[in-house]
Amino acid sequence: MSSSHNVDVSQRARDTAERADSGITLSGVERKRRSEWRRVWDRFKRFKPGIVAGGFILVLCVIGAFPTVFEPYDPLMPESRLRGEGPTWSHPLGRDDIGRDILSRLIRGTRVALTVGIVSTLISLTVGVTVGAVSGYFGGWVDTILSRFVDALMAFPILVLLIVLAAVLGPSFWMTVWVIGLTVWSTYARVVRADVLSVREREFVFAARALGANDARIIFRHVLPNVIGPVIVISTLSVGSIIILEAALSFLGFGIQRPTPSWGNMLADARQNILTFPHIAYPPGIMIFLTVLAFNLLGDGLRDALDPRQRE
Amino acid sequence: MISYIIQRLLQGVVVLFLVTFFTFALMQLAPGDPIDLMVGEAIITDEQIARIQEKWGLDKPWYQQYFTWLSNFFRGDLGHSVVRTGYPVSDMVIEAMGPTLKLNVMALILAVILALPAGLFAAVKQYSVFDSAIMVWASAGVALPNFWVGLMLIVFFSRELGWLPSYGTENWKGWIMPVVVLAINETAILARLMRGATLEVVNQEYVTTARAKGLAERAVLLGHIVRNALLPIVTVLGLRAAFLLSGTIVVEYIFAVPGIGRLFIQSVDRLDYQVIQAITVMFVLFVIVATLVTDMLYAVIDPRIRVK
Repeated sequence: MSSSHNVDVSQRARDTAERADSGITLSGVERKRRSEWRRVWDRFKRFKPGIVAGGFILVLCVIGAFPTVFEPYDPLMPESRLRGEGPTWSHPLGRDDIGRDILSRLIRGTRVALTVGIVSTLISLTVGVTVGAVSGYFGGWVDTILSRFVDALMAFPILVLLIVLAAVLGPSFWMTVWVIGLTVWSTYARVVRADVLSVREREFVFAARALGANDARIIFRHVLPNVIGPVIVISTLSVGSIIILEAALSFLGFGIQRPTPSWGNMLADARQNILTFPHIAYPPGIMIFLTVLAFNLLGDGLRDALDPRQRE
Repeated sequence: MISYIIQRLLQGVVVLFLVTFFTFALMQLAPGDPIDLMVGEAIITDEQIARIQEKWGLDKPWYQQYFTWLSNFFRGDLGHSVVRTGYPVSDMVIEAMGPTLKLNVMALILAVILALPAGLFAAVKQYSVFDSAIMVWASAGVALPNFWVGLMLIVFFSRELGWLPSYGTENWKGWIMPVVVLAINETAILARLMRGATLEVVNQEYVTTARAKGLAERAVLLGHIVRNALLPIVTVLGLRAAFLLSGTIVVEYIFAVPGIGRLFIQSVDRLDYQVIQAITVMFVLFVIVATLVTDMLYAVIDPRIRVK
C-alpha cells in the first residue's frame, strides 16, 4: 500500500539519512514536500464527486461551528399547540411531535454529528496508529500480544459493544464520543502494522539507524510519514461510519440524550409518530445519508490522489 | 495446512479468553451489588443468597469468579433473568434465536441473489450504463442508515399503501420489510466486492486462453470467471454474516421482531445483566467461529493457500 509513497526510494533514503544526521537541509526537504502535496492535489481535482463532497463538508463545518447564526428558532423550544405541524413558509421543514422547529434542530444536530464524527476519529486514529506502529516496528511478543488484543476487539460487533458500554457507564455526550473513539481503532492498527512491517525493512530506515537514530526517532520521522496516506483515507471514511454509528446508538436511546438534538434521536422521536407525522422522519435521514456519502466520496477521492495504485 | 489450522484454532482460543474476560470485566463495572443485580426485586431468603453466592463464587477473588462464570457458561448455565424472575437466560436466548436466524438467513440470501449477479455483470460490461448504476448504488447503499430506510418503508408501504404491517411478524407479510432493510447495506457492499473480484479475474491469462481455445462465452463466464471471482467473496461472506447480526439489533427494534436483538435492547433497558452478558458473548462467539470457519474454508478451496 505504502510503496507508491516511495517512488524514488534511494532519493528518499538520502533525504532522510541527511535529516537523521545533523545537517538538516531544510530547504531541500521542504521543496520536495510541497511538490508532493501539489501532485496529490492535482490528482484529487480529477475526481469531481470528491470535490463536490469536500465543498459540502466545508459548508456543514461552517454550520456546525456557528449553529446559532443559522438556526431560525430555538431548537429546544416546544410549541404544544402546533404539534406535528407540516412544512409552512415560516417553518420550511415543519415542527416535530412536541412542536419544535425541525430545521433548527437539524442545524444543531449538524454540530453534534460532526463533533462526534471528528473527535472520535481523532481518538481512534491516535490509539490505532500507536498500537499499529508499536506492533509492527517491534514485532516479537509485543506484536503477538497487541495483535490478539486487536483480534479480540474486532470480534465484538461494534454496536453491541457500544450499547453495553453506554448501558454500564451511563450515556452522555462525551461518553459517546470516547466510547466510539476507543472502540473503532482496530482498522488503523491493522493497516499501520502491515505497512510498518514493510517500511522498516527499507534502505532509508537502515540508513537512519546506521547514522545513530533511536527507535522513537525512526518511528516518528521515517516510518510514520510513509503510512500517512492510508491513515488519511481510513480516517475520512471512518468519520462517515462513526456518524452512522452515533445515529444508530442515539436512535436506540443509548447515545446522545434528549433534549440535545442529534439526527439519531430526532429519528427516534420520528419513529414514535411515524404513522401520524411522517414528515418528522425525512430531514434527519436525508442529512445522515448526504453527510456519510460526502465523507465516503471524499475518502475515495483522497485514496485515488494519495495512492493511485489503489484505484478501482 | 494442518499447522495452519492448529495455529488459527489456538489464536481463536486466545481471542475467546480475551473477549469473555472483557465482557466479564465490563459487567463488573456496573454499579451495585452483584446479588442485587442477579435477583432484582425478588424477595429471597438468606439461604437462597448463600446458594447464589456459592454458585457464582462471589466470596472468592475476581479471577476465580471469572472462571466459575466461564465454566458455567460453557455448560449452558447462563444464569437467571432478573426481569422475568428466575427464568433461565439460556431458555430466553434459545427462544429468541429462531426469529433472528430466520431474519438473517433470509436477508443474506436476498443480498447474495441480488448483489452477486449485479456485480458480475457490472464488471463484465465495465463502463456501461449498468456498471455506472451499480457503482452509484455501491456508494449510496453503504451511506444509507438502515434504520431510516426502515422508517421510510413504513411510511410508504404501511401508511400510504396499507400493504404491509408496520411491525410484528405474525404472518409472512411482516417479514418483508425487516428482511429488505437488513439486506440493503449488504447488497451494496457485496455488489462492489463482486465487481472488484470479477475485474481482477477477467483479464487473467487463463480467461484469454479459454476464449482462444474457442469456448462459448457462457462457459468462459461460468467456468472460469465466476468460479475464481467467488473465491474472495466466500471469505467476506462469512464475516458479513457475522456482522449482519449487528444490524439485526436495529431492525428487530424497529419492526418488533421477537429475536435476539430485541431481547438485547430490552435487557439493556432494564439492566438485566445476566442476559446482556450472555447475548454479548454469544454474538462474539459467533463472529470468532465464523472467522475461523471462513479462514479454513478459504484454505480448503484455494489451492494457493494450501500450498503455502
